Amino acid sequence: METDTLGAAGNVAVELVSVSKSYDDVAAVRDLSFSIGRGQIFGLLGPNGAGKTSTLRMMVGITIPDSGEVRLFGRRFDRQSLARIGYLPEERGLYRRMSALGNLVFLGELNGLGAREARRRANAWAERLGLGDWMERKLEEFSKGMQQKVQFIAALLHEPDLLIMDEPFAGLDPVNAAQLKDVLLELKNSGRAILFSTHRMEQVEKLSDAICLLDHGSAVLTGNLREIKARYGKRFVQIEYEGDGRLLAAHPLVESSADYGNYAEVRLKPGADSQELLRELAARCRITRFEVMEPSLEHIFIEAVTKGDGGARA
Amino acid sequence: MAVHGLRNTWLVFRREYLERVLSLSFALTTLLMPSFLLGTVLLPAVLSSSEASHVRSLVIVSPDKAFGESVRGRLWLESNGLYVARVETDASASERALLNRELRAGRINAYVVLDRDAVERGDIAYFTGSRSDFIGSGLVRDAVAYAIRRERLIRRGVPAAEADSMLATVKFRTVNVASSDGASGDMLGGMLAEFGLVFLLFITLLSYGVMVMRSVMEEKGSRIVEVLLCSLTSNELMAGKIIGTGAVGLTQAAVWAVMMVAVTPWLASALHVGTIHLAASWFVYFAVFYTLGFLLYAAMFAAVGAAFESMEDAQQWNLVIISPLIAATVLMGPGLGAPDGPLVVAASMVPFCSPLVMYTRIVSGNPPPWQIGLSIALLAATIWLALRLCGRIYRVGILMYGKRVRIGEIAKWLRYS
Repeated sequence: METDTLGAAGNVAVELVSVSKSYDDVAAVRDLSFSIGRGQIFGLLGPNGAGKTSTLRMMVGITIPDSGEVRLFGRRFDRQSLARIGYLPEERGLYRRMSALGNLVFLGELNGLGAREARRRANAWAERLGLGDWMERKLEEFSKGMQQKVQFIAALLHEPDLLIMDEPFAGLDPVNAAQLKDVLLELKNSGRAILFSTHRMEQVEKLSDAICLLDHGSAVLTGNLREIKARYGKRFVQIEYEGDGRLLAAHPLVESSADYGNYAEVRLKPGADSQELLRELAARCRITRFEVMEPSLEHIFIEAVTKGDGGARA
Repeated sequence: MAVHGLRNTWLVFRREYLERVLSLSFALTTLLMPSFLLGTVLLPAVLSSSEASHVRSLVIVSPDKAFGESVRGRLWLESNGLYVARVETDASASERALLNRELRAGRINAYVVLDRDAVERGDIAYFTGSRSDFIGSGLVRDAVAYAIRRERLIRRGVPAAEADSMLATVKFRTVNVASSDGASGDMLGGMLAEFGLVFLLFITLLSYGVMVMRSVMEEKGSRIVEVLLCSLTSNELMAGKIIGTGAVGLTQAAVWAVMMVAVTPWLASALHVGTIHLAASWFVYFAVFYTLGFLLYAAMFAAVGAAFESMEDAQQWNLVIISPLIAATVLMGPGLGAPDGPLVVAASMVPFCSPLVMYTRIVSGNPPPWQIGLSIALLAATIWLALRLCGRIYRVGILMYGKRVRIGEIAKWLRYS
């Protein structure tokens, strides 16, 4: 008999093993494998239509893989394990003519809570997220951001071990986005596994421990974010300058550049010395900032997709 | 697992049921629909009956005073004292002109001329100021006919008391020996009650079937279905939704049935139709055929709701679904009049029509138990098949967004395991 490994040696909340899914003749997900451990924030990235939502739907049992396997908490997929998952779909959905509390209690009960406990937890979360006075009101009276918070509470109410969130920051203003980020970090620290899917790379970059980059249904990059970045090296330079910076475009050390007049982002050729570039630039113009940095996730993604960088896969 | 599934279905059922039953729109339709129906049926009847309760003044022009008095007495008796007449023996043209003036001035409501010649010929003229004085003309006609027959009998040597006894009013009531409880009641009243119940069944089946479709479309449109399917299966969701919405319809029908029982005596009196009998078994069969019919139609409506995103797209399929129900309503008339006609009997076995047609037969006749049993068995088998097929369409359809679905595609969904 298989055992639950979350909290034991494996610490694996979810594992995809060579999962594929097609709709008619279109392959939505191809041979996808990754796993998410306890206390880990995992970013599933990719442009629209890359297969993110199809992957999430298989993880929460809405659809079944054509081949491969989704394993939850160290066991073969079974619907009982779904009670340990919280899901925030990309297209937010709640009953608009029901009160926020009514929605939350109903969804909490569906996830195994008793009505009284669901009500207690819903009110506690609402107080924390500033919705305390709104719980008896119908959702159709809520702003988009407030509905988003209710949906977020619905995903957390039953204290899931694995939280799956599709575009969780979409539609949130910076204050609410920061509030959500704090909650996510708190959950991570309490040992929950969190997967969030987005096409906004900068959010993943700040929060994720590990990532999977999807393109046309296939993983183009999977693994620990720090390791991936380290693998790409520090070949990116941000330069703020005053004067003539035209030499950047044609400089032999520069592979590519984006020049904005007094600010430029430069990618050095492999093996190029950034100090040499700094010396030459300083001779022609006044440099106010020169920072050598790791590539952004966006750069890595573009490079992986355009060059089919199989070597970078973990 | 099974217990877990049942709990989920129960939770969905409870939400569907309570959200709808406690809504303002439910209270309004539950109260307004019977008020509207009663209003349309009763208002004209009540108005004309209140109109009819005014005392009418008539003149009977009869040179034969005794004959005139005979008509007057009979008219007074038959109209429960509402038609008060005086007898004038002068049938001259000047007297007639005088009566016409009285009629136009509204001092009298009508007069009838019973001169010897007219009585002999049996051709009586009734003069009235109103074009729609049906009740008055009918009462006067009956009273005159009575008096003529009475006089003819007396002329043939029958003693007056015997003639009166021969012409005594016969009390007439309908006894349905085919009815299980041997109920008796007024035939017109019975027809009204039967039609009312069958119509109620049709309205409830149709409106709550469409409600399932709208509810599915709403869940699909709002995307909450994705959240729900993470916690329960599509079958549990569909079952809870159908049973919950169906129970709302049954609740409303039960309220209407109670109202119907309560207002029937008053209705019968307002419509002057005698006793209206309502058999308890009619309500039991109502619940049975509503439940079965609803399960069948709700399964199909749920599939259509899941397959399409807009009401416009779903509209044409709605028509396809409800066409057997419409066909069944065409058979309501023949079914009430001749419940054992071959076409009606055949239609009562066709599952898509049988909820309405078999129920029509049950309330208006006495179909053999084996036919009722067979009809229910065929219906149950069709429901089983419909739930399986529609469940597959529902499962795939509720997650299909953004593209117009074609029939070939739906056929493909049916093949998905």
